[in-house]
Amino acid sequence: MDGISTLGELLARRAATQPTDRAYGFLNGDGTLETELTFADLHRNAAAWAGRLREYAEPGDRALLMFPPGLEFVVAFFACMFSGIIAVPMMPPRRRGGDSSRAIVADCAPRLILTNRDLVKGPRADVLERFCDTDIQIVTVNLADAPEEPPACSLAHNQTTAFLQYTSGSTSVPKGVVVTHRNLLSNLEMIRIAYDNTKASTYVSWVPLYHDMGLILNALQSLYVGAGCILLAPATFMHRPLIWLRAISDYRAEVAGAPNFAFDHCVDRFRLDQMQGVDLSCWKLAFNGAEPVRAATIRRFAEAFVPFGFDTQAAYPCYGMAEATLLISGGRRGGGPVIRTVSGVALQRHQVSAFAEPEDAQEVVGCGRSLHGEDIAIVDPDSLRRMPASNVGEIWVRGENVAQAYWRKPDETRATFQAHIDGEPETAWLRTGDLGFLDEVGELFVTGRIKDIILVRGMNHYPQDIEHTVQSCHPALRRHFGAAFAVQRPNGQEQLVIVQEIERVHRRAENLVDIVHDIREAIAEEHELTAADIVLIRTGTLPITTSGKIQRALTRRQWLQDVLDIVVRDRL
Amino acid sequence: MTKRTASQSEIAERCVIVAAELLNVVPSRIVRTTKFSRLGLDSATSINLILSLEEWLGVPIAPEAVFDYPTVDALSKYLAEVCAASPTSK
Repeated sequence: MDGISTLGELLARRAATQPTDRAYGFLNGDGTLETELTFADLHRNAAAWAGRLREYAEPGDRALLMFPPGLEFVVAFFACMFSGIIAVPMMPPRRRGGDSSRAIVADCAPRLILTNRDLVKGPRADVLERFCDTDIQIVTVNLADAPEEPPACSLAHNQTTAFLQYTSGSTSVPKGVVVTHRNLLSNLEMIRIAYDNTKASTYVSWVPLYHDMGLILNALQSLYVGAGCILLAPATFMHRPLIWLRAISDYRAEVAGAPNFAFDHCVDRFRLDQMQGVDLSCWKLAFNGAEPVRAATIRRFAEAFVPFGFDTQAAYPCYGMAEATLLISGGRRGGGPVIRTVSGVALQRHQVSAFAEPEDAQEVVGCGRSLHGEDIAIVDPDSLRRMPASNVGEIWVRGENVAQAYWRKPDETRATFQAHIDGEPETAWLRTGDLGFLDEVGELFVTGRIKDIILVRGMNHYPQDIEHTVQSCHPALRRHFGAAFAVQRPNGQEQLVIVQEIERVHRRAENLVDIVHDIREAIAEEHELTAADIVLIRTGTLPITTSGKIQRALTRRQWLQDVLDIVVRDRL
Repeated sequence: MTKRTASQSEIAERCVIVAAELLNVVPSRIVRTTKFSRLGLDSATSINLILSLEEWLGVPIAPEAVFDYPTVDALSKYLAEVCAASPTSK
């Protein structure tokens, strides 16, 4: 965009050219508008808070943003943009269970924690109290109390770090993707082109703002094009998913999207009486990303909601990750989903070929093509050679949207962001850790992954974190000798499996059943996940390498083949 | 929604059936005094339990109820009280 090199400048332009247009609105649990901010409001508030933040912190210092759903997050985020302070969005602490703030604080050493009254005085105030004796300053940002400080001037430039995205890496070893204003503005421009967005492209979103998709694909993109964005809390969506659809209808939104499970959730909770008067004909782009997209989900959703004006061509599967700021691939607005049927058996072997028998037919959903100014390559993860079309390999990405680094992690940075294709030493690529293929016309299909993460409801879960939770349940569970991994149900959904060694002395079965139940409870409370199968195995039987590294993929294969040395198992 | 008249034990039975369906297990696995998380219900499944009971009972139930009353017995006792207190069908 001409003359705009930082996000702060972007907001200033919107405030100048569209001062009274609604920038953001927040709906409460009933779907009623509770708060709103015009572009001018947001600009004024953010600039004033930026002045306050500069009393405590310098440009380049980090500020953790820990907010419940609402517009304070947006004001705090832009306050950081204006003051040159690096924003670090974080999930607010849950009702029970741990939170990841400790490790993230250790990793990025923030000067500030920005939060609001609800968290400071609410049931999880303990999380913030922990920081009282440190040098970290807690600042409550409440919309009603905008300070009278003179506005801070924007100190950032294109190469300045705008924020850190901690959606990668486990809670014990978090990795913060360093996103510059340049990365952000390039990806926002790529998204604008791919989505064909204009200021008429009103958004409705419930995806949390601490999630990269919630923040960038929704809240920042709408501001980028000068459109309004209506936000809802994720809990509102989980409780009453049809409120999302009604809001799309009421606000005549063009763009709304979510991870795949959300489209299924709308169909599962469909109630005719809750759909009265809902007209989805305005909805031009229903993006589906953050986790594998299922053809069956797309079809069910269309079947349920075409009668309410939903256009099947609005379905827009896409793919991305925080390391590329956000979006890596997407289709054409109105192009509809690209679904192909291939041999399932061949795909298990990472090959793409036609199916012979109907039982072998497996549908794969395309995630669009590379974005404007970006390249996608499929590379053999071992030989690092480029692979031709219709061959499965690791997905590599190059473009101005690709971040430069993980915060203060040179080894991981080199391994992830500075990969070179065999024979092409001049170009650095991002290795995504995902597997897929490009077809003859350049459509990307994501078919699996090399990295060990577990994806449930669009959120990344790291095996190490889950394994640690398991092992903390009882001394009988051998530390560092457990594996957590995902397996697919027939309907395509991922579910969690735990395989854990027990100490030799604890092999007697009586209390092992209790221990398994303890594990189940801990995983549900700490990670909000259901373990489909918890398998306790004999000491020394978990596959590990000679250097002691857990071989999760091999353990998974053994689970699939049913050859584990099982002492006790609890399978749902 | 039409409100259903149900006793605590009927509500408890229904709760067991729905929880078992959601977890894809036999109803005998759902012990009435065991915490839902211990049985394996995560937050999303717990919300689905509440939504299903809400429809069956015909009265609105706050989603937090499943966290405040985290066993079949506690939840069914609470829901019996909610039903008794709420006005009859509209």
